[in-house]
Amino acid sequence: MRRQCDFLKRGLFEPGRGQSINPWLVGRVRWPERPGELSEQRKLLAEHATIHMTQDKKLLVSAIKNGTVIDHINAGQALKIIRFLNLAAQNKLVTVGLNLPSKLMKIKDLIKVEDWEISLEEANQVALIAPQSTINIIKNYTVTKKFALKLPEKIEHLLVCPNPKCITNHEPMDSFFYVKLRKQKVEVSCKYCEKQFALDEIKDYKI
Amino acid sequence: MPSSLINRDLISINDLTKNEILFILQLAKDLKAKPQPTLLQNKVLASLFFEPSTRTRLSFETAMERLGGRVIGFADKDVTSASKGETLYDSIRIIGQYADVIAMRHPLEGSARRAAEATDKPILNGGDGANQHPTQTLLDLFTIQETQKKLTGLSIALAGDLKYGRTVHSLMQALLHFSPHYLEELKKNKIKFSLHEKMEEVIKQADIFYLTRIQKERFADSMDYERVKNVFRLTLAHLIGVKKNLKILHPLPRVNELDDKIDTTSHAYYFQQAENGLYVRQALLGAVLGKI
Repeated sequence: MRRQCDFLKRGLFEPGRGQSINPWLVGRVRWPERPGELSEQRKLLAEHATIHMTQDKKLLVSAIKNGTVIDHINAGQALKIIRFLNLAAQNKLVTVGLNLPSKLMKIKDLIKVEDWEISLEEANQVALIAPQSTINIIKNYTVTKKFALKLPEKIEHLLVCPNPKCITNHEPMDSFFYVKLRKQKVEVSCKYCEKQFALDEIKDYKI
Repeated sequence: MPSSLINRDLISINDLTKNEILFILQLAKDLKAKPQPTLLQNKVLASLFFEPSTRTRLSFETAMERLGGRVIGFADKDVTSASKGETLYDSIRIIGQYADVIAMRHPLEGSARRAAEATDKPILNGGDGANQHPTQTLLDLFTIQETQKKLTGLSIALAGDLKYGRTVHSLMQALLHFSPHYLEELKKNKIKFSLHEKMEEVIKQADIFYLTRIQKERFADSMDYERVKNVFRLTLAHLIGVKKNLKILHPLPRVNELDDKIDTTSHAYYFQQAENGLYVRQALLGAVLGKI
């Protein structure tokens, strides 16, 4: 337990709501037996602790000193986000966790990128794929910025229109989609061919 | 109102407000009643047809000529640089420097919107694949208004190729302004609609019966086409007991879905509908060039 507390006190993970960590609180969090009684902040703290440490106290995903953490990604979407943000081509150190245990989501994906700060536009693109994810900017092991995610109104360049007869698939040009939420599902409509698609109908990206 | 249309593109019927549609219909009515042979003197229309067309191309070109303007263009993409691999963007950018207004048809969906980005001259979409054909829609509305003296409170039956027929898609969108609506939108707006498999089930209640050709060229599977090609065939027998004011419209060309024996009945109005394309396109040309 001592090792866990030190680890938490040093801020090697992102606190739930951006506040500095209360050592008393952290000391108490460990492995909660009755999560239903915990406050939201404690739940998040507990969850982070769970991710970083397993029962045998081994680190699953290492904390980063500076960079961006995209957490609470619904399981299976992390690789799509990496493709969307073109993270593989940026020569940054990227740590990906797939199907990590999560108290809130049962399983989740997580991405950490060292020495890279996500822009608002990019964060909103993440919202497109994983609207409930949390994005934190870390500086010196401390969360310095949190993004309130919202769906972008439009997406340029990224998506390939699934309509084979759309002009965007025949000319050297950027695609352009309008985004809207319909019955809790993200729908995109091509500015050019005017066809509408559910997001999971988009199979290809211009990356 | 005219000022809002000056130098505007007409790519999709959704680009127009209800008032703009009504304004264009009024202009077309005026031009039908009183021709203006010198309105567009010294103006040049580029008529660019990358896909075959008879009525749309000829009526655009005639509309320009009858308003005193001139026409350049082509009716076969094989005679253009597109056949050498030039992008649509480059072609339109260059042609936009020659002409005052461009009417175009292209087989790819979204091509007209793309063309509009290449030039600041107004683009009038004469059909982009299965997507939009707004001038056809305007002439359909004009014809409905002409025959029924109104655009509201009508029973409109749409039959034929409801999947690939772009005229049906555009007409439905335009009619949103006046009442009938796409299925989901229909439900949302509590507008009465029904779906039928046989024309006989609806023709007796209809004020307008809008029939379309099965779009053979848009079927990915020719077996599908063979299966449906003879399903909708309107004959004289269907017209027994229909409303007196029923008018049959068809964007033409027809293949076998519309029996030519109907042509001589008081219900046939598709040839006048095709003629109205001339006045609607004159109205559009005059409006976007700021002359009306």
